[in-house]
Amino acid sequence: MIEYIESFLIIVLEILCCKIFYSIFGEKRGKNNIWNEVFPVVILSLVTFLSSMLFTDYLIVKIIMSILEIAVVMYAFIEVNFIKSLILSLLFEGILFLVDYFTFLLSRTIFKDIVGIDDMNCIQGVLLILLGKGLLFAVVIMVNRGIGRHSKESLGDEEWLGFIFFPIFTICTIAAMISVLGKPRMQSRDMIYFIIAFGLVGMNIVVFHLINDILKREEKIHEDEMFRLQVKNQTQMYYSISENFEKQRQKTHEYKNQMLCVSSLLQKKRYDEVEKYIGNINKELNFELDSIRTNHVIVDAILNTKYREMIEKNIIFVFRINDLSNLIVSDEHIVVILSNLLNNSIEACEKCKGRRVIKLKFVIEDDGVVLSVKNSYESPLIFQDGKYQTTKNEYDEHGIGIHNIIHVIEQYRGSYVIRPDDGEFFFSIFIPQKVTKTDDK
Amino acid sequence: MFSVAICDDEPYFREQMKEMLWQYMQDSGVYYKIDLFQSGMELIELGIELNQYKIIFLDINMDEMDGILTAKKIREQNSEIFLVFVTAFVNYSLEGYKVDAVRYLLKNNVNMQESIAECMDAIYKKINYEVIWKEFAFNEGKKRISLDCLLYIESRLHKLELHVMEDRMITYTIYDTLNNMENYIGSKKFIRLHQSFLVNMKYIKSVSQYEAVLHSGKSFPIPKARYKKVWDTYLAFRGEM
Repeated sequence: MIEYIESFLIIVLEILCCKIFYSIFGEKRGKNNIWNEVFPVVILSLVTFLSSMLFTDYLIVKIIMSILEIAVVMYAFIEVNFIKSLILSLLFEGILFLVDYFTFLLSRTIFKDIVGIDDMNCIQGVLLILLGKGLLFAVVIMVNRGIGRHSKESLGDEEWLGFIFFPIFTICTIAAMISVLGKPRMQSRDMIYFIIAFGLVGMNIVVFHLINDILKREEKIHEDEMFRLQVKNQTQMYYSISENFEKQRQKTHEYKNQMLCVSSLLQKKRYDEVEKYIGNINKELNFELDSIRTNHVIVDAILNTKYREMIEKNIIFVFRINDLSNLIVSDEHIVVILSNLLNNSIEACEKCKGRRVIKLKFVIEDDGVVLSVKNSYESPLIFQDGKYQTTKNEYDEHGIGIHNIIHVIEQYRGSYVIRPDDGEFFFSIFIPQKVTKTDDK
Repeated sequence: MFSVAICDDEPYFREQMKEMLWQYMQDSGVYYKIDLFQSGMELIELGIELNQYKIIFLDINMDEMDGILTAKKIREQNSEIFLVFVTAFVNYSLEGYKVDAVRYLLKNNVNMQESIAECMDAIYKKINYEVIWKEFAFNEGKKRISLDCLLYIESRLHKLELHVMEDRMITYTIYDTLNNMENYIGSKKFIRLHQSFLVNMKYIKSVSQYEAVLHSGKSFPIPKARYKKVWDTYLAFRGEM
């Protein structure tokens, strides 16, 4: 009886690996619920177990059956066509045999005193099989790492190194257990070893799933954060636009009053008061009225708001603009690009001890839009993975900002270049003016 | 010593500008001679003497002749003077005048002094570090040419052909390698599109996959392997102020 339980559990382990292997190549069919996770494993384990019991003496038939079973069941649960499912099943079986054979060879060279794998009563034999499954799991996750589709969902280099510790540790433990097993055997100790070894392999698979879940959740949080930031920027801009209109309307109303006031003060020859009064009005006007006009309402709102912010933060704004009324970039997208670029530059400038300068070029030329921002920066840029990383945490607003900008540029089939230039950070964007926008999925 | 002209019809702003420039000179230790002008007319009437000025600060809103028109007139005689527009309001139409102003300074801004310093430093850098004229020992004889007028250099067998825009297109030849010439010119405005072409980016009209076209219609192939680098350099060039 124990024999049967042992071999069933081993089959379950194989099937779990097989499921991970399949999910590298296709999404789950149907909804992402617990039944979709558990069902295929249970069904496949049972079917494989039964068929291997039935065809114990016919090895070839047993193999063919198990390949077909895997192909059919996985086809039902994973989004792949049948031919592909069959090929994957063959591949998986191939990996399984290779790993088993490798384990067998290993056992011949390292653990010479072992009787043989086929002797199921021997705990060493079982441990050896578990060692094989541990290796199988390691191979499958390496394949996952190598050709995984979800670059953001999969583990980063460091996380991956941390995670690979689990299977390696498991393999080492089981190997150690095999090698220290002496000849005089005690039934209870064998049982404990078996349970430990089995638990270790099982734990690996559980940890793998847990980490995958955590990563998916983090990705979701990241996306939400990106969206939140975009909305925040836009709302801010629209708010400032409507506020500006309101202010200008007020100014028109006030104008008459102010003129009346000035002329009456002049009549009474109260010159000092006139001077003071006009001085106050001027101060307000300088701060409230827009100084930059590009003929594009949204761009003007952003530039003027940011310009005021720069004045407050003692940043020099050097700019070159032209008529942007024919800009093909949509309002919400230009908010993403321009606000993020300027916010990032202002942030970088604030950290500067020396002169703080932001240079902006935003012009429409014959073939497209040229938008570039150059700003002083203090901390050195970090170049990694072919991209400039921010000095702060990857999930902060700055990083997401640049990510959002690039996302929009790509939608318009534009291109960009980021480089440090003579002590300044330089971000230059070109968006072809005539090419129609690709659909945003 | 360089001379700087300030042109503004408001005496108050003229004086303010002068004070700020004076402050800048004291801070930086670089001294310029400063002359004040009340109108664009006064400036233009100088005629040939206008060339003594390296930098002119121009108010845009002037009654008699506005800053833009003055700038155009200045450009008719001299393309090398650095023009700085000073205004209360920057309008999109300004750029349309294409008088090639270095900066647009906004009046009455609390960091005006800093803006002037930035502007002067930028000009100083342009004067001192940007190569404009170079001398070449052509087969046709020694000649100094402005790099701005040099469209492209083509390498043919053992000699180079320099295509220069003077009153008409002229081709000069010289015995040298393109690598040497690229180093000699040492300007960031030139790009090596191809093993045998060095092109002035100012004259490039468009760069598309594996080809660059000049305004004159002349086109150059870009090798696939070089394309990404060429495109990035060109993109950075277009983003420059």
